[in-house]
Amino acid sequence: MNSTRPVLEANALEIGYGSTVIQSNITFSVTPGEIVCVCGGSGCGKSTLMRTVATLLDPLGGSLKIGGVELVGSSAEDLSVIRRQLGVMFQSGALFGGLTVLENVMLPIETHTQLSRSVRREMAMSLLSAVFLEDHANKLPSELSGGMQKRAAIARALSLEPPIVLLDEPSAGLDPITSAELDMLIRRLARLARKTFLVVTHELPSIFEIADRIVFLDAVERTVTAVGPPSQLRENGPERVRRFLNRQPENADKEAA
Amino acid sequence: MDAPVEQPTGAPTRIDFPSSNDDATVNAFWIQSVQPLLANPPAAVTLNLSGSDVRSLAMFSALVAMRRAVEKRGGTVTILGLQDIGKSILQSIERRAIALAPVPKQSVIAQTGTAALAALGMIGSILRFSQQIVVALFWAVRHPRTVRWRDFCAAAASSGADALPVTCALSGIVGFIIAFQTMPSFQKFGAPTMVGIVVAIAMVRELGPLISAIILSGRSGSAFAAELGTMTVTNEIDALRAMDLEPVRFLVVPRVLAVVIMTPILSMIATLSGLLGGYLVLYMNGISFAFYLEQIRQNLAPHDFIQGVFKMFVFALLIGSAGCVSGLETAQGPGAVGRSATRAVVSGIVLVIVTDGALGALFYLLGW
Repeated sequence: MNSTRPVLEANALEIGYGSTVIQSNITFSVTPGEIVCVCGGSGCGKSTLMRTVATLLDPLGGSLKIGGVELVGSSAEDLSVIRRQLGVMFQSGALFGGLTVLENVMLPIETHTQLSRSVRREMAMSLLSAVFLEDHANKLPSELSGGMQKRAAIARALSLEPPIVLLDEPSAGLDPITSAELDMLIRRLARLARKTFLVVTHELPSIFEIADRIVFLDAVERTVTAVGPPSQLRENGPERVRRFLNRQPENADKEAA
Repeated sequence: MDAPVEQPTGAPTRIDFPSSNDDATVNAFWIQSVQPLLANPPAAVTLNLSGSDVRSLAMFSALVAMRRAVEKRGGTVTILGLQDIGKSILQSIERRAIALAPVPKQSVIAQTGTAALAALGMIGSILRFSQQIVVALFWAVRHPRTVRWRDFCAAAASSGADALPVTCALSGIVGFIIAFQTMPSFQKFGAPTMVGIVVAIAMVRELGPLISAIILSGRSGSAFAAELGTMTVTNEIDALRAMDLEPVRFLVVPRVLAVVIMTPILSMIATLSGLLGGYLVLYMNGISFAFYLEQIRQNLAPHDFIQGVFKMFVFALLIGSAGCVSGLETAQGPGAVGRSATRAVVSGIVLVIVTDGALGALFYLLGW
């Protein structure tokens, strides 16, 4: 790690639902401006980690610092501070169905700032043009395609200029072209806006396209088994990580077990 | 081949699988051989599959079911003539047998208890949320700019104006029925004019608010639960929380505020409609409208009307909260939103009637 302070720091983090521990020893850190992909097989706890970082699920143990503030055992004020550091895009987009795309993007600005309506509107419009949706600003989310909804959700996640952006499976359910366009968009935003991205995905092309580093959650050992640049791990990583990044299943017999 | 030894259990201890797989044969085999064995598994059984085709799903299921039944009671199963493909499928099924083990069935008493606990749980969650809701409501009254007035207007229109026709029609009919059913008894005592007082007291103090509350629960309580439930399922509630917007303040307050403001008015109009419905019967018995009005004026004090409106205010608070809380506590899955809507209506009506009883007792003790 170089001299820049990490914006996200997990130390022996334990995550899960209630009494069900899903991952018991997650340790990694993310420096400003980095794009880190969280990946691993189905059921490894990617989405659980995402929900935990998004402060929607209480960590079961360990330590998780977001923008320097400890999430484990945080007070209501701390939680507010943490949430203001984060922009979250959910897998389904989770746009508010009753509001137009523009209103969706304006909503966080409206509720958290005292800016006048015209300023809010301009801010939201410039975000929408950054994700190429300015022509669709007054449509309802249901009138947009899946890829457009995700772009709108990214715009909404960026609306309060959070230093950290969490994306949950941005390319899930998208065709290869749309998904590649989204990857380019993420890279562009990371470069232009100097944002830190934590992206949960298991789409290999996306991982190699956008990730500076990956955090590999192992479904078998229930812990992080590798952290590093994806191209490097593909060659020299632990066996299961190599197999994941090279799309090589274990033999059929073990797979059935 | 092993000679089967007869067991005293009565079920056959050697079962020969038929060689044909047509539906009639399968049905006959299932009734004659499989079911008796499943009902009363013997300690040892030989299943002879020579000549039958286990690639038939029906035959294979019979094999698996019988083996499981016998082994469950600690018996031994000998399988003869199973083809290799059958053996490997059987092995792969074995590994999953534990996952398929049947869920122990609850007795009727236990089921009733579970359902009762679930209903109590809903009331528990409403109580847990009620503090949050009350705090948020007071906050909203002090900071009206933060309320989402668009949601408020939508909820007010649907729970107020849109509900007006059906609420008035129902309470008019109820007023009519009360008058109609009590009229013969009062006529027997030569006091048909008393019916007007009965209708007026019943409608103003009880039935106007109650009918409005039940319709409110069915229309708005369920709608709130479905709206917020869908938002929960599609992660919109999560998105709000992640944006540091409290769903209670943001979604529940405008809705609860809307029903609390609108439905007392609705209930007053419903009460009037009930009084008119009741008058229809009086009119048929030759009682004049002026007399009816005079009777109401003499026998009902302002506090009777206030009591009715106050009740409706409490009912609206309960129903609105029950609907929203039920929506926010929606589980995942395709049936979850429907279950939340059902729960909102049932718990809303239960809460209303229980509260109605409690308020009635309270007013009685206070001497109102």
